[in-house]
Amino acid sequence: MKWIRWKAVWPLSVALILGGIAWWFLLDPAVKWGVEGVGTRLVGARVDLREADVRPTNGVVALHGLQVTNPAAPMTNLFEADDIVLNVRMAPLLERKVVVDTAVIRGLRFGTPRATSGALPEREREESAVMRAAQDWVRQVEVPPIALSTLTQTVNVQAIAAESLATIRAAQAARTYADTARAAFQRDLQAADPRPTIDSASALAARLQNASLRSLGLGGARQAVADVRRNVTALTQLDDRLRALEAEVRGNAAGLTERLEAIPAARQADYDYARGLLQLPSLNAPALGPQLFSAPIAERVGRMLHWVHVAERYIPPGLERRFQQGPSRVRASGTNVVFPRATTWPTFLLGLAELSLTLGGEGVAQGEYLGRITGLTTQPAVHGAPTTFLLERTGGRTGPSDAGVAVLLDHVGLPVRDTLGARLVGIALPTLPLPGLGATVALGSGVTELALTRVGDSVSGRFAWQANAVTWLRDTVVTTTRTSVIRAIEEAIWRAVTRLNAVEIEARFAGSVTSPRLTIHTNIATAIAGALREQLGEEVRRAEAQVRARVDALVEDQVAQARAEADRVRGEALERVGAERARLEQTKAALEARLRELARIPGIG
Amino acid sequence: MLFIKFVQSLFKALNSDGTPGQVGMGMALGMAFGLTPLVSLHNLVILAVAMLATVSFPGVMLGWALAVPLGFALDPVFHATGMALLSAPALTPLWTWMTNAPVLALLRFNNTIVLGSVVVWLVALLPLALLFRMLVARYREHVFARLQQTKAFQALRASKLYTIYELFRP
Repeated sequence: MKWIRWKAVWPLSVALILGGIAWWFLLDPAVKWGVEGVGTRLVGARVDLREADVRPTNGVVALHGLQVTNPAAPMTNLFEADDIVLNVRMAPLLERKVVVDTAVIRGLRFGTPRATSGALPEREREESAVMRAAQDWVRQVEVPPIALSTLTQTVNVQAIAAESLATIRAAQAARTYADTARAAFQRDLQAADPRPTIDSASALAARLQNASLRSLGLGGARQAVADVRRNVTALTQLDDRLRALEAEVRGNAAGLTERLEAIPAARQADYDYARGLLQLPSLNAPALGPQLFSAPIAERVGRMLHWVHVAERYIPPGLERRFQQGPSRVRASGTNVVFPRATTWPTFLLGLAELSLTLGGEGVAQGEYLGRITGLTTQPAVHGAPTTFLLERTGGRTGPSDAGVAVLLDHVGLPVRDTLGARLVGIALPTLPLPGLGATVALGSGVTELALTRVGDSVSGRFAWQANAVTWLRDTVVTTTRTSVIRAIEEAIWRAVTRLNAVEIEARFAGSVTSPRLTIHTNIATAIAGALREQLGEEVRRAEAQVRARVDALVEDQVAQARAEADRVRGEALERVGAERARLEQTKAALEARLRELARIPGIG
Repeated sequence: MLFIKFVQSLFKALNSDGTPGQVGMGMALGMAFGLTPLVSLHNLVILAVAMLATVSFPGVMLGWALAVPLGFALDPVFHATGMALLSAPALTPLWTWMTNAPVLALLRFNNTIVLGSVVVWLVALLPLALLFRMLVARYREHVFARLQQTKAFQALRASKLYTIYELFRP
């Protein structure tokens, strides 16, 4: 029986050759779909490519008309590039790896409008988990605007409920801790059981008080010395146990003190909570800053955090096995498991990319720029070097007088380290409404500064706008419900802010990479706080005093009970241990004295 | 014209073998196209084997057709199998080598569905071939003889559809 169908060889060969030719012709659209698919997944919004031109013989891939949608603004491109020419190594392709030695990007433009929306349909928005994290943070840090209408309302302190106050919870926690500590002390003291040992030693000491060789006899004296030594050893061991118990009691006392010390902070938090509940305006500039600008600044910082998360997801550190979603197909996608190996190529590497871009027209960013990306990879531990990105302005008639961006993503090992620094001078700054205050500030042109440092799970950064010639605009819509008091306050605020020609707004964020704390400082807040103090200082202070009195009344009993309980437990435990140890020391000293006397007897010591 | 001649010669070559064993093995091989993701390098290899080996090519096509719905239905099993294999610490060196080796990496065995379905198919290959051989033999022995007597079959025989059916006759 023959096993090989020899006459099928030539048709098969022809079929393979035809397949190869088809593959050759389909290479361009395949690369186009690949770039669009991978880019879309990476960015979380549509990536479009007009055409791809692949020349496998000399390893050149040219991409024409690339548009990358801004995920935060789907009708705008994050950037658009006319031509991208890549020099690709052919050998790594056999390992399903893309290694680009050099890339040249021409005709790069940022923020260009799109003809169609680049938003992904809901079902395709798998990337959004990363974006959601940033959006959740933005929602979390946004602070409600100043509400002048609350200033004229009666303060209803009865709305403050005891069960919502942190002080009461802190006081109850302290009492619970005290009860637990007391129970533990009693259990341990009972286990140590010092009385029988001390009583027995005391009885021996009393028995030997006036004993002598004559009264004891030689044998009795030897027995007495042995008894004394045994009792001294038992007392020493007991003393060790009591010392350990004392250390535990002191530890518990420290824990108790810590909980009691947390109560004032909780009370301060309750004052703030109650103020917020009753919507009392703050007269402090640090509290006013977030009320004025938390929305626009959180949105911008949120975008930066989004890219930090993207970098974390797509540039993971280390050589650990990683699980990724498989490719989209009619069948189930499955999971791709990536097994990085240090001695080979990363799955994607862009060795060096140079981008020379000229932003034309009279726009705010007009001018010539030079950019450089090195070591952009999906497996930095395999590549062994961090990714860097530098962009600087090299010339131009108008637009920013100075612009520089530097990014370093060091994900080679743990902890990951990301740094970003950007300074744009002479660029147009936004126009910001002052919510609730009936005014708007147009910042004009000025300086934007960005700084971000991420180390492991911690992130810190700074975002600042500085403008020296701002324009103030007053809202023209008049609300009829405004009272004369509110109008007077608005007038005062308007007078205060319009005195400012130079404005500085600085946001700082620090904390965990998923939810950093945001603080905003601005001289506008200082001016507004001054005006509010001038107009409303007395009323607000009075309302604040009412709020504080209500909180104090609700928590005072609980706090007093917690303190008393804590003092009692601490005092009792330390006193009891101290007393037992004092008695022990006394008995031990008496026994040791008798032992010294008996040891002087010849033939005994 | 040249293309039609090429297709004719291809099919003539492929249909020249039709024992129960050849049909059974053809069907078992063809099931790879339905059970595993179609556009994969391993399927190109299986196609070459199916064309070069003296197995029944219509059997390959039939196996493929039978396995397509099975493939969809068994995807969760393939995923679980693939995940178990790819997660096994003892096999990590093997997968690390395979997924970083030239050409072998193109097999995409680091995908749970691809690896799971290929392994399940490989394990089932011989049992399936034997089962199909037995079924084809029994069909030819018992069913075909009776089928020939029916009017419906004779009517069908007169139609063009029979030329397709002829591929399966003894």
